[in-house]
Amino acid sequence: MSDDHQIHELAAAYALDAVDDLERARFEAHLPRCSRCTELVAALREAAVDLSSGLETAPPPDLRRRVLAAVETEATPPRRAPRRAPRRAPRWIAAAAAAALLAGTWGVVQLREGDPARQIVSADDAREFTASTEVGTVEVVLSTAHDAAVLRLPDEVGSPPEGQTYQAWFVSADGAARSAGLIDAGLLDDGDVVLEGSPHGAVAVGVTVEPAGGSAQPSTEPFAVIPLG
Amino acid sequence: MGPAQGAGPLLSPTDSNVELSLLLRRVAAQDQSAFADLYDQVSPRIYGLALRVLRNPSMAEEVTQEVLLQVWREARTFDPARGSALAWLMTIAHRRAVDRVRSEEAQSARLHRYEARQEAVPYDSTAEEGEMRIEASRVRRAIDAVGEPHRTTLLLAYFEGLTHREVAERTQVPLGTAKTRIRDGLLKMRTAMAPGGEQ
Ligand SMILES: [Zn+2]
Repeated sequence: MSDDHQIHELAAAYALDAVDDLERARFEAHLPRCSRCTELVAALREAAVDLSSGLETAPPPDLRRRVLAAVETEATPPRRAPRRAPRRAPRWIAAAAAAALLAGTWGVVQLREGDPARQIVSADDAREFTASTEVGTVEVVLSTAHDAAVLRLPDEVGSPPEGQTYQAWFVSADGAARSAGLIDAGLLDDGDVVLEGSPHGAVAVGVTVEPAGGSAQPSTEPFAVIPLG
Repeated sequence: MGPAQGAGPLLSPTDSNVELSLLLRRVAAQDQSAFADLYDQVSPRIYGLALRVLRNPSMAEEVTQEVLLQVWREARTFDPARGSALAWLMTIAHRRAVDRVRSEEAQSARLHRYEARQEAVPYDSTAEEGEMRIEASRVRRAIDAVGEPHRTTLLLAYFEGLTHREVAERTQVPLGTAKTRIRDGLLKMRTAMAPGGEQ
């Protein structure tokens, strides 16, 4: 009961993004079951909106062109797999979770530009962890100095099935999973995938198959689990 | 510099939220012209917040782009029954800005930096660096009306991206106190901002 009591107390900090990744995961697991916290978070987020008022600054004019062009590109390509509607969790929470997932996707893309996979893999403190899985040997290279990890899937791992994606997870000691990013076909081709977010606190990396767009929490059994230690 | 062009409508929350809700509905249907309108309405607000949190124009620009593309992809998950359009948008924006600022610096380094800054100048002045200060008098009044210690707690959490743990450490109060101050600060701010509320 005291655990439960403490989790309610995270509502305000959560509404203001003043929680760490683990607390966020725990609270998001709690939210769908607690109408009191759901209402409080919504009310506090409305209040927090005012904090961003008065700071309005015109972004560089070029940004508009780039954002609209990006949207146009996304709107035109051959049919994308439809994003699956969030299950179970209230929409507001699902949106927050989706935000985390998209952060993952984008983080991966941005990171690749500086070829950080090589930096992490060749870091002085790089440590390798491997696991034999049903798809072959899967490896995670972790650098505490870079606060980052690289996932290496064997070539045998083909593209995910139509309408699905691979998703990596950092798993903490209490079993909580936090998204470490989506792994699409393009990233697979490169071999080394820089995982999104910090491996700090993770005791394992898991990889699951998820609906296109990813999931807030693993929805299938992981096909690979690599213990970090 | 004052509020940028396009920021105007957001100063009357109710009307703008109805308008933004309608725009978001069209964006959810992948209407690109509605998205362009939405961009014009909200990008100064998103960029301004990102700039304030990240203190780096190019990072703020990247975050703004990520936020808006996410809005394009996720507009269908917005549910007006669960909150205002502006709260939905700014929640996404704040979350991304905070995630970015945290990924830029390890926690210890961030704490150290804030402590160093704290020693150099009292927080009240450092919170308002150069052009990134909070300019709108209405909001200023609301934040000021919140009073200390809630005001500093809110500013540390919202603009510096500190977790409640870090806020507690930084302000040297127990964890429970930091959590309570965040909640009470926001509730007080809500009261102060409410139409017809105290200044
Ligand atoms: Zn609760």
